[in-house]
Amino acid sequence: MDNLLASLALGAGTALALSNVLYCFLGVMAGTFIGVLPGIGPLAAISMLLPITFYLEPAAAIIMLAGVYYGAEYGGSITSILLNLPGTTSSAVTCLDGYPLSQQGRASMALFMTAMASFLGSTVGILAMILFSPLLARFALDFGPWEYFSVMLLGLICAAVIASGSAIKGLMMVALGLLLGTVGTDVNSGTLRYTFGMYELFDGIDLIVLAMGLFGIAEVFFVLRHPADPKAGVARVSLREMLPHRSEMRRSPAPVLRGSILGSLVGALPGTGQTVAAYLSYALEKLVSRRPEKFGSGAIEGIMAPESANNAAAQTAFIPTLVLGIPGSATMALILGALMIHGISPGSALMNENSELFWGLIMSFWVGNVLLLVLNVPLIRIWVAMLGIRREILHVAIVCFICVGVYTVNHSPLDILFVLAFGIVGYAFKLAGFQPAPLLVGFILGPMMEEQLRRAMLLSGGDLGRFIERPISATVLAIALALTLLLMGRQLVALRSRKTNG
Amino acid sequence: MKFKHWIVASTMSLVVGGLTASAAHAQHYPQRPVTIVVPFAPGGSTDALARIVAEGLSNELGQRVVVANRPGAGGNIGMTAVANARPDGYTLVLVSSSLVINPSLYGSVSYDPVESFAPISYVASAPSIWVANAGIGVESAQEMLERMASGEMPYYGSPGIGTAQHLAGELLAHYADISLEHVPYNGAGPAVAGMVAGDVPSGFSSLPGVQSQIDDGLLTPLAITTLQRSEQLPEVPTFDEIGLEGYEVDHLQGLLAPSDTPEEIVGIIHDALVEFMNSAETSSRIAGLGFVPVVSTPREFAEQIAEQVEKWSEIIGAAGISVQ
Repeated sequence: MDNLLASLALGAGTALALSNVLYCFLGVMAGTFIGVLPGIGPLAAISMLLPITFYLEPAAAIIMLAGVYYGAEYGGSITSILLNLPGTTSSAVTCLDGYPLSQQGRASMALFMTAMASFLGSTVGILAMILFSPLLARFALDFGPWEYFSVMLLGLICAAVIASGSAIKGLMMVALGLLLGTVGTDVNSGTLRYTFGMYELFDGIDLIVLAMGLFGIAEVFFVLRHPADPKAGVARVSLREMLPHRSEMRRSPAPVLRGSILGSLVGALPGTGQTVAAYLSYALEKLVSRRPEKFGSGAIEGIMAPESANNAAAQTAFIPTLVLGIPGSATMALILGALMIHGISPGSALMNENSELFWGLIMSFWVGNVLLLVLNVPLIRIWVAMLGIRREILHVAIVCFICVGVYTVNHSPLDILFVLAFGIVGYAFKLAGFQPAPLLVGFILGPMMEEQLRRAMLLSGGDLGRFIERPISATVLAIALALTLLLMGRQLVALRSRKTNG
Repeated sequence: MKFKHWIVASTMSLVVGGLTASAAHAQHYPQRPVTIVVPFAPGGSTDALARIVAEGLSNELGQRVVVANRPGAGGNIGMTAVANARPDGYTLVLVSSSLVINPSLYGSVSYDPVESFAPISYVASAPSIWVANAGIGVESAQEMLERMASGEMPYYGSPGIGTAQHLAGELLAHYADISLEHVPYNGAGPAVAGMVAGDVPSGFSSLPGVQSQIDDGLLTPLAITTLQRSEQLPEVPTFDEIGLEGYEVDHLQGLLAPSDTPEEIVGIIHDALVEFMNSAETSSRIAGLGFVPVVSTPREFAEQIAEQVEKWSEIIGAAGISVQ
C-alpha cells in the first residue's frame, strides 16, 4: 500500500509539472475536436503529431498522444447527440438515445450528462489501471481464440436486443452486417471475397465509411425530405436546461457503474476495444432495465452506459500496451511506437526502470479528464448553438465534413462514393423502419468471430470440446445460452398475450 | 493538417507540375512540398519510419516533406499510385518487402517492382525473429525444430498471410524440410498476444514487437532471420548459424520514385537521405523501431530489388501461398 502511494506521488509529480499539464491540455483539446469531426479519428491525429514528439521529453510526448486518444471519446458523442452523426465509431451507439433527446430539445442535458458519464467512466478505468494492471493483463492473456469467439457470440445475441421495435427486422440487419463484413481479404486463407477485382475492396469496407453513410448522410437526406416541426428541437441553453429530471438523475448511477466496469474489462482485452464495449453495455442496460421499451426514444440509460463504457475502455486499453507490450489497436501501436522511438520499451522495464513515466502517464489521465470536463461543459453552449444554424447551411457543412473526414482515412475517392451509396441505403432503411445499429454490430463482430472461430478450430484440430473445456469460454457461452432462452421466453409471452388480447 | 498539406501538395503538382518536371530545373529542386506515400495505414513500423525520413528530408532539403498514407491491398494501392505518378521527384514512396513479395503473392499487380520505379536508397533492414512461448520449456531453435518435426507442435503464428513473418515460417519449413501449420493473425499485436498467451507455441515477429516480452521472460528467443545477429539481442543465433545454411529473410524498407524521374533529382534526394541518415540521432530513432539503418546507391538498391523479387517468387511458388 505504501508502495502504491509512493508510486502515485511519483506519478503526480510528473503529471503536474507545468509543461506536462500544458501538453496534456493540448492533447485532450486536439482529441475533443478530432472526436467531433466525423471520420477523422485519433489514429490520423496521432500519426500527424508523431514527428513533433521527437523533440519532446518522452513523458510529455506520451502524455500528449494519450490525451488525444481518450479525448476523442469525449468529442465523439457530441455530434452523435446533436446530429445523429457519430464522431467516432465507438459513439455510434450513443446516437440511439442521444439524438432523440436532442430532438426533444434536451440536447444540452444530454451533452452535460454524457460529459459526466465520460468522466466517471474514465475515473473507473483509471482506478482499475492503478489497482489491477497486472491482474487485468493476466486476464487479457487468458483470452484465446475460444474466449474471443464466445464473447463475440454473446455480443451478436445482444445485437438482437439493441434494436427497438421489430426483432425480425433487427436480425435481418445483423445478418446484412455480417454479409458486408465478409467483403475483403479473408484473414485465414488470403482468399478475396466480393472484391470484384477492385483493389479498394481488398481490405473490406471501412467501418467509418459505413457508419458515416448509414447514420450521417442518411440523416441529412431524411431531414431534407421531412422538414421538422419548427417548434420541435428548439434548443435552450441555461444551467437549468443542462440538468436532468429527478427521475433521470436517479436512473443514471447504476448504468454508469455497470458500463464503467464492463468497459474496463473489455478495454483491457487487446483486439476488442471501445466500440464493442459501448455496444455490450447498451445491450446490458436494455436487458436489465424495467422499461426496455423506452430505449431508442431518449432513455438516459442509453447514453450513460455506452459513454461510460467507451471512456473506461479507452483508459484500460493502455494496460495490454504498457504492461505486456501488446498494442490492441493501430492507434495504440502508434503510441507504443512513439515510446520506442525514444528508446523506452514497455513491459516490466517500463514499470520498474521508467516507473516515473508509467505512473506519470496514469496520473496524467486524471489531469486530462479533469481538463476535459472543464473544457467540455462550457463548450456545450457553443455546440448546441450549432443547432440554431439554418438547416440548408448546416447540412451542406455536415456533408462537406463527412466527405473530408472519410477521404482522409484512406485517401481514396471511391470511399466518398461508398458513403453516398450507404447514405441512400440508410435513408431507405429509415423509411422502411430498419435501424442501422444492429447492422453495425454484425459488421464489427462478424469478421472477428469468423477469424477467431477458424483459428480456434485450426489450433484444436477441429475439436469443438475446447469451447466448453476452457472455463471463461464455457461461462460466457452459458450466459449466451441463458440470454437466448430468456429472449425466446419473452417473445413467447408477448405472442401469447397478444393472442389472448386479440 | 496532413490533409491540408496533401491537398496543397497535390493541387500544386497539377498547377506547377508541368512547368518544373524537366531535368533542366533539377538544380532548383525542390520548389514545393514533397510527398512520401506510405502504402499502409498509420500505426505500423513502416509508417513510423516514413515520418522519421520525412522529418529528416525536410531539414536537409529545406522544403516541407509530408507523409500521405494510401493503405490497402497489402500496399498495392499506394505502390500503384506512385508507379503512375508524375516522375518529377515530388511524389516518392517508402516501401517494405511488399514491393518484392506482392507480385508473386497476388499473382498479378498493376506495377512492376523493377520497371515502374526509380530506386533512391535502401533505408533500413528489419530482421524478424522466431520466438517460443516460455511456458512450453523449449530453450533452443534445434529443440523447437525437433518438437515441430515430431508433429507435437507444428503450429506457428504470424501477423498475417503474405507478411514477411509468414514467409519466414514457410522458408523454415522449406529449409528444415518439415511440414508446419501456419496460424495467421490479423496484425502484429494479436499475433504476439497469441504467442505470449501460448495459444500458438511459437511464431515469427518483428524484433521490437517482442523485445519487451523477451526481456520479461514471457517469450524465448530462438533464431534471427537475417544473416547477421541483432545488436539488440546479440546472444540469439541466426538461422544460418543453426545449420540452415543460406536462410535469410530481410524485411527491406526503401525509398523509391516513379521510373523516369530525372537522375539529378534522384541524386539530390539520395544525398539528402544519406546526409541525415548519418546522424547519430536519426540512427537511434530508427533503431528504436527495431530497424537497422542502411543506405545504398540507387544502382545497388535496384539490384537488391531484382534479386529479392526472384527469391520470393521461388519460395512463394514452392510453398503455394497466394492471395486471390
